[in-house]
Amino acid sequence: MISSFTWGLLTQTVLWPLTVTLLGLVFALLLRRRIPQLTGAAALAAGFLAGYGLIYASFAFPPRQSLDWLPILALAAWPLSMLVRRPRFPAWLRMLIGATFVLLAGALLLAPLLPQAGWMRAAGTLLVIGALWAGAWFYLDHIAPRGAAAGVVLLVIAAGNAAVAVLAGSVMLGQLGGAASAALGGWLLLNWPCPRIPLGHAGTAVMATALAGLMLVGRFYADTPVLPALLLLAALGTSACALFLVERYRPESAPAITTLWVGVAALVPVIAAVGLAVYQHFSSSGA
Amino acid sequence: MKTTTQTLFNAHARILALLLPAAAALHGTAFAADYKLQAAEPGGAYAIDPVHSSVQFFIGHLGVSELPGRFNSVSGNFTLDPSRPEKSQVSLEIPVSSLDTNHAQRDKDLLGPDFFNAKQFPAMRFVSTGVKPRGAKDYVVTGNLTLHGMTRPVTLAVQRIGAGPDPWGGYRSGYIATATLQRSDFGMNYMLEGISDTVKLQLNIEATRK
Repeated sequence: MISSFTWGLLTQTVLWPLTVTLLGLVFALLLRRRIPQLTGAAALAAGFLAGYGLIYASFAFPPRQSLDWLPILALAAWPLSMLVRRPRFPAWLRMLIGATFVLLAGALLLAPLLPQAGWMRAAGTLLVIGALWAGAWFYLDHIAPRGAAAGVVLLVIAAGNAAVAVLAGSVMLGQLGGAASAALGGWLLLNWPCPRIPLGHAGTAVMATALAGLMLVGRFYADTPVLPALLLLAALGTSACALFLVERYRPESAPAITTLWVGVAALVPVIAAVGLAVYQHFSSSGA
Repeated sequence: MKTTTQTLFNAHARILALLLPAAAALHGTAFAADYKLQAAEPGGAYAIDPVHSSVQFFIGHLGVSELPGRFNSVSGNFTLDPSRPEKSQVSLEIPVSSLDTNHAQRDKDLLGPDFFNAKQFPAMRFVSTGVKPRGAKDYVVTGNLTLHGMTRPVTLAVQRIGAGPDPWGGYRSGYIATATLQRSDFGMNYMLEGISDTVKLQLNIEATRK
């Protein structure tokens, strides 16, 4: 028997994001011919934001806390990703705009802490964050057109981040990670093995920004340990390796099989991150 | 003929006979110096003694209990003018990171973005806007509490415990202040289903006159 309290947590974290995403995608299927590139991103954004609104419940504008910036940045990434995909934007300009966006986003999320760090350390921190975030985004954006690979990688990392956040001491960030996972899970339900509503560059940008924001808030405001966070990021590298190897040595593989390998490769460091977080949790609590 | 043992016994008895009344007299003196409240004039400007002051809070958990917690640090100043209490002023500062609920993991959770967000909002502050006497030893102190980056009016019910000289040549006064606030008023809305919105505060303050 599930208590009303647990039921409430599950509803906020899983059921609402999942349902809203699925409804959005079904609606998107009906409208697909009219606006094919927008609907997947819209459904995912709506699903995640439904969970965000119910869980966080403290959104303020102008933003007061770092988590207030999360929906704004995720939604800003959407038109930006569409804009830079226009033919007149060469690759270098696209990367420059993307890098500027993630640097700005990082600075906004960490703004309350930067003055305490001193400008040298703050600049160094922002540059490292910008490089990691931009690298992750460009990689996911690169694989976004290839079946469901980007969605699966994002789902695996979001679920891992949710577990790590809860174990590291922030149930709310864990719930928000769970909401991102549920939205991506809802997308995958309707798009496995072959996407009917592709995640696309816009959907990838929205979810990558939301996830990066959650990881950043977790690391800097909730003291998520560094090593599990790095292992979660390593999932991008292992998935890239798997994709490279499958495309090089098994180019005839079906897209679903390729995606499966990519997902399994991403899962390995994520499982290690969660295992490490479990170990650190029980070590620190003396259990 | 008395044995050596009997002689020693009689000597001990005589010593005891002398010591017992002395001990009883001293015991009586100890009773005379028993703890009692000092009721001297409390007026003046004071600095809070952080070693002898504490801030406790009580918050409902799952609708079945009230969990206690405390902040281990508090600092501040106040001035008290008994002839014109309305001129009195209070300012307090509590570092949020001194929170202690007797469970390290829960403290980390509370200090994180779920609740206090201590990295961004490291301190809570109370600055009085008015002091009204209510009886001989009680006051109602109104003021603004800044917590979690939001400032809201809060009313403290203050009871004076005692005032007077301390053994080191100083002068002290002490108070217990209580207040009830809603955490949602300060933008702390997370998990209101399981952790109550209402938080009871109790401040035990001891201060030394400047």
